[in-house]
Amino acid sequence: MRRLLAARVAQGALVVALVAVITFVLVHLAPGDPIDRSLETSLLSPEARATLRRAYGLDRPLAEQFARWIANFARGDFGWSFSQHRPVRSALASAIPNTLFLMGAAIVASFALGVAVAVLQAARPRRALDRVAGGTLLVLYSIPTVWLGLMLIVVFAQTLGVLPVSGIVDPVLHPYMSLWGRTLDRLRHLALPVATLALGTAASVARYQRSALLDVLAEDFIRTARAKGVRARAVLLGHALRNALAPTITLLGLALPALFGGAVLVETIFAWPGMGLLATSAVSARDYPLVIACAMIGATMVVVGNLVADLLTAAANPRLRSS
Amino acid sequence: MSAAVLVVIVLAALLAPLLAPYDPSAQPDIVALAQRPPSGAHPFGTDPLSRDVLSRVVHGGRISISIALLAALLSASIGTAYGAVAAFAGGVTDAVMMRVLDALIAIPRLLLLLLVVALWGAVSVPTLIVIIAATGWFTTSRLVRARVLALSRDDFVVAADALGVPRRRVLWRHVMPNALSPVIVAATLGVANVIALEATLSYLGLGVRPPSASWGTILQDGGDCMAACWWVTAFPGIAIVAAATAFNALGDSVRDAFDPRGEHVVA
Repeated sequence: MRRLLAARVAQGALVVALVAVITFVLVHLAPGDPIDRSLETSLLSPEARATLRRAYGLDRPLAEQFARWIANFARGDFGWSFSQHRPVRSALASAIPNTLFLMGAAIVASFALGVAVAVLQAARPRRALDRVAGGTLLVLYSIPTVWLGLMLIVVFAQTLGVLPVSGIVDPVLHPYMSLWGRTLDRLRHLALPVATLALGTAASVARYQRSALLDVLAEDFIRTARAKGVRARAVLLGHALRNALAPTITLLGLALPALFGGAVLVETIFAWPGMGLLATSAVSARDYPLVIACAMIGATMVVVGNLVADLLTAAANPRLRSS
Repeated sequence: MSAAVLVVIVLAALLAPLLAPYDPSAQPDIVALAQRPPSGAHPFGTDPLSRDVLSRVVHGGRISISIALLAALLSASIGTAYGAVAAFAGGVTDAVMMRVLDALIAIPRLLLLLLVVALWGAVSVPTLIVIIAATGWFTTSRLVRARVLALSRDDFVVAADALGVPRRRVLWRHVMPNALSPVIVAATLGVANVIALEATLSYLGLGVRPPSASWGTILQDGGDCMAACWWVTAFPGIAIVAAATAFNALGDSVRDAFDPRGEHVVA
């Protein structure tokens, strides 16, 4: 177990380092730089631009810029955000918890919903409920996140008027609410973004979990359990589900990049003040340090998430622990 | 069911000029005809510029479906080539190629696309296809590599080697044709994926540029007036979901056909 962990951590660190190189090269290959792009510098003379470039070190060779950036990054100094006019670290510090909150809620919701639907399907495979659920899941799985978000806004926020359109809390009333009221306010703001993010993922979890359950249900030990009189519900939940969960945990780990991409979209649609909103605005402002930091943090979250998924899989399946 | 939907969508795209009741970019009357709800004359309503949404959706299918098919084909080719080269090369080359792949997979695709598209500015449709394909081949190449490695140890390949068949011929005639089934499944599912991706990018203003109508740009037209004209967003979205669902269902059937025991080894 410990050796597995060490190997995975080393591999993950290598991946993050490679992501750093790839993003840095991509960003610097693109034409133009933040000094050209920034609105407030459009009136500057060429000499003033050159001075700014020198001040920010943008005139140095690429390898030198990269070395300096990596050295600073390792010390926790992510650079200065040109567009936010503050250190990248402080911009990220306020955004990361919001994104983690959104993604965490979406992962829990999609896992719970997906597994529940799969269990209902696997209890009576190829019957009416299974077929209807299968068709519905395929459609849900195919809906683009953007459109789902927009339609949920039309139905729940604009037509029914029961849920807020955007933001993370009520901008005016939130500070004056009681603790209970503030919790409810947060949950009401969370509902539509999480539904948008979680429904598609839940569909892929359910599709995968159903076929994993059916595979396990065909195995010999299930027949043994049934033969000795274990009740159907106990066989399904105690024997089959326990054994079929491991691949789904791995799937959720593999789905993390897509989930992060989905979070970027959801944050844009619902004005959720997280990393996605920060990243999209940083990209259009060509704010190098912030863009690279967002990609790095995103990739690190994905790598750590995969590591956690691997460990959970090992915990769920003792046979994998020794290898 | 899904085959019927697929046929309808592809035919509608091919015959768009005959089927569309109006010119998709005509703006007949910006005052009297803008943002009209669905009616007999305009079954899908009109958008804020008084254009007929049905005609735009029918024409938009041409661009969206073409982008999806070409990008999926291109990314399947890149993925196959990369995976096959890694598997054939083996050793250090293989290890390096796979670590690079791990890193590419770890960057969220949408972030990568945002980065590339936004940094390079306005992109043409062919460039968009290349960019989408360039960020979509990672899983295919993993599948191909695994498949080629497994096949290289298979008895019929060992037998061909033992019979003295040249190495190159073994690879092209024996290994590669057998390694292609996961590619076909991944490419079919990839079409559905790219349809959604094009819609997303165009909605964000980074994909197909107006005045060209794609399903994504129509979504974008509707995004500005969601409260006043939901139908501009709703109908192209339904077309996207129908097309993506049909391609996903096709991908599922192809996988089951290649893999009748349901072991799901291919994707």
